[in-house]
Amino acid sequence: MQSTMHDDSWGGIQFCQTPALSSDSPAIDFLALGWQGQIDRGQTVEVDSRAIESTEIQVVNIRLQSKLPQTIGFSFPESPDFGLADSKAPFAKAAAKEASENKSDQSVDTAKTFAANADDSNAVPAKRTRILPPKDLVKLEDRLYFVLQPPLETLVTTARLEFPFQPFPYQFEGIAFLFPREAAILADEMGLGKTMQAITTVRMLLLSSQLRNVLLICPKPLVTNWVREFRQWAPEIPVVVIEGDQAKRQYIWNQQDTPVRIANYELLMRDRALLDIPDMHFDLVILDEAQRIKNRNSTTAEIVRALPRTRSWALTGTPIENSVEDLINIFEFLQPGYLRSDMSLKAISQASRDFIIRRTKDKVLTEMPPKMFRDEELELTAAQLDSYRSAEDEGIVQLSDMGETLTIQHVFELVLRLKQICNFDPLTGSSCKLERLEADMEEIAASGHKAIIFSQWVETLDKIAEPLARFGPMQYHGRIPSAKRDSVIAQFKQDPSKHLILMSYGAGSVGLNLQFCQYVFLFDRWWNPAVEDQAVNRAHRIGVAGPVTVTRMMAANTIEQRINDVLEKKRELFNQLFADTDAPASSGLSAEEIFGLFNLKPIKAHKKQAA
Amino acid sequence: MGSNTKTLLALGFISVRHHSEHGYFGGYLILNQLGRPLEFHCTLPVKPSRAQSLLYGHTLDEFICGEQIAKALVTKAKLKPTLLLTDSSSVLAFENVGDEPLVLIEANKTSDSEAHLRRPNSAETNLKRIGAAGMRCSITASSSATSELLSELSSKLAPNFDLTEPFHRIAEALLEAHPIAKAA
Repeated sequence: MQSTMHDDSWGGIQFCQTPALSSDSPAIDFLALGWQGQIDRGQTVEVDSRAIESTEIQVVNIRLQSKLPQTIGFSFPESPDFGLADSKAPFAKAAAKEASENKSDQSVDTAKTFAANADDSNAVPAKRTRILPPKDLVKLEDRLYFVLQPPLETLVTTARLEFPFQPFPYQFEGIAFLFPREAAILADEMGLGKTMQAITTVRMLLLSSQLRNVLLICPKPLVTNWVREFRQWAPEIPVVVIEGDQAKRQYIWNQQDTPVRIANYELLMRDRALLDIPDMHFDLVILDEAQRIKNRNSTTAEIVRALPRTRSWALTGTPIENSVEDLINIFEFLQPGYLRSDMSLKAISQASRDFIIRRTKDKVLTEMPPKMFRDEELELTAAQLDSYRSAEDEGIVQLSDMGETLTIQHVFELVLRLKQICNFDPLTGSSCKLERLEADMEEIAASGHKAIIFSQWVETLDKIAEPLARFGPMQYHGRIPSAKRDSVIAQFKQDPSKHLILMSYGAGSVGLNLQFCQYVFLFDRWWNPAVEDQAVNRAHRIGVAGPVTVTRMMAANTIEQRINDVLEKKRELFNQLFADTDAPASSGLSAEEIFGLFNLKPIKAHKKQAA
Repeated sequence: MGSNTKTLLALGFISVRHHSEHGYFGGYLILNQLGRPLEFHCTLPVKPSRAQSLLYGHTLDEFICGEQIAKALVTKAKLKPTLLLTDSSSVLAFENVGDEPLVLIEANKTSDSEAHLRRPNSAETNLKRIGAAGMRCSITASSSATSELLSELSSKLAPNFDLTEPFHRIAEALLEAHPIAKAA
């Protein structure tokens, strides 16, 4: 496209000529309009200057914490070695060998030796039992000392503590419970291994230098049992039995550096004067069968409470035999004044909870063979019935005639006389119980089994022995000297011709291991079911091969049945205090209850516990 | 009767737990070769400020657990362990401020008593796996821990020494020392 300029101007403004368009382009014309005249006016430009404000940038400082967090810290003493260097291992291994040879004596048949387990370097304990501090331990450092310890299973393995049998998990829990406690009651049901738990804890505390001298007090018949158990479960711990003449006993009492000394309750009474030794102190005093101090005012209770000591442990399967007072009185040994008679049952239960550990077989040994009870209500023979009726009638008349001179002792004598008639007729010697026992023994002996027969009277045991001579009866009671008792048990166990052992409740109710017996007969009933349970548990213990059948013999419609009815009702008390466990024990008979057996009322002065 | 065990080596276990209301709780347990405690230190509850939360963002756990808590705990201890172990990857940030070799152990499931507490873990993915004779752990690229060191240590440890177990002890001890951190 081309364009040419024209001369035309308008309003001072030169216009270009309309570009010459090509012939085929449309023409474009500019037309002057009226408003364009304004363009002729002069242009005025006004300049307005404004200052621009300069702004400063604000900076906010946020201070970040530069101080490190505050800390609290504790150092612990160099960890104690359990002192079992390799040089000492042979002692432990010898003990393990001995234990495995006597396997049926002690423990579980499925258990492997712990040593074998420890040898497996890759073995990590499946269960971890932690040592937890008791609630009454207030200082944080002391509490953390226990919280930060390795699990018990690790401790015993790293310390190379060997056991004849691997303890059950609940036994580790018992050890973990005792370990940190200065005051404790191990109240497991009979047969769960209180002895082993106490010995192992003592062993660990001694070897870690947390204890130096321990005094164990037990009933006299159990001393040899404790010595044997120490040899098995803590072979490297020296144990001394306090016995012999006065000079020897005095010498032993004076030996403050003896790790473990064993005394019996009877001896303690005799040696009361010998205990007056300046600076005498025990790091730990253990009472076995601690129900022996249930009577606060007894001399035994007074003597043990006076023993100077740091730790106090009580072992008992029956912390309550008669009433809650029994427990309060055991606490007088553990923690004087902690429990009071005016406290409610609920308050006592709550206050004592952290001091007591109690497990029952049903809860922890779910795979243990059952214990089956068979209540035999037997009809008296004709001769027994005649004697019984005349004795009861005459006795009640006599008691009624005594008026205010009547004492509980009189009632007690009548009860005993009637119970004896229920066993044997005094004139003819006939016995419904013996007839039944003879029949049962035929079957037991034929199948190669063994049985224990309990009675409260040695005379009754003598009467049983003669007609049952063909079953090879052994006798174990108060008239058998202590020195011979172990050999009686050994012969009964090993001799296949010995099918039964006759025991008195007193001698055979505690501390014996007779789990090779599958039958137990209670020929007559003890006043207190707790004692009966202890007797039965001689056979129904860890290691028992099969079910244990317990036959409780009872003469129907007699004093025996009435006593049983009263005792059964009293199990509730135990249930209330140990709600989470079964009730293996119950209280004995009070004076009121003994009088009540004959519909008599006690004189006020005689209202005290009788059984 | 017992004798003292001469400590052959010391291992330091650092663990941190976070409570939704009360903040971070750090614990440091030094054990000997048998797993027995020699020292224990713990922090008072640490609550990050609003500013720290904003500025550190998703690296807040690392800053608090590694650079603050772990640093404070290791500084306070008298014993200087041969190796530090932690069950929380956020603690690995300690290497920014400390020289001690530190490894991460894969922790077991927490127990019921500490189920309400969070174990702070960073999103760190650049970890290297090393191991020796039963010790399996992870380290950062800049860590001074080596397989040789682990091998030497494991030969001195008691045969049944479970390296994850001490963290449970620390958690229990933290709850014992700080009851406010217990579950409501």
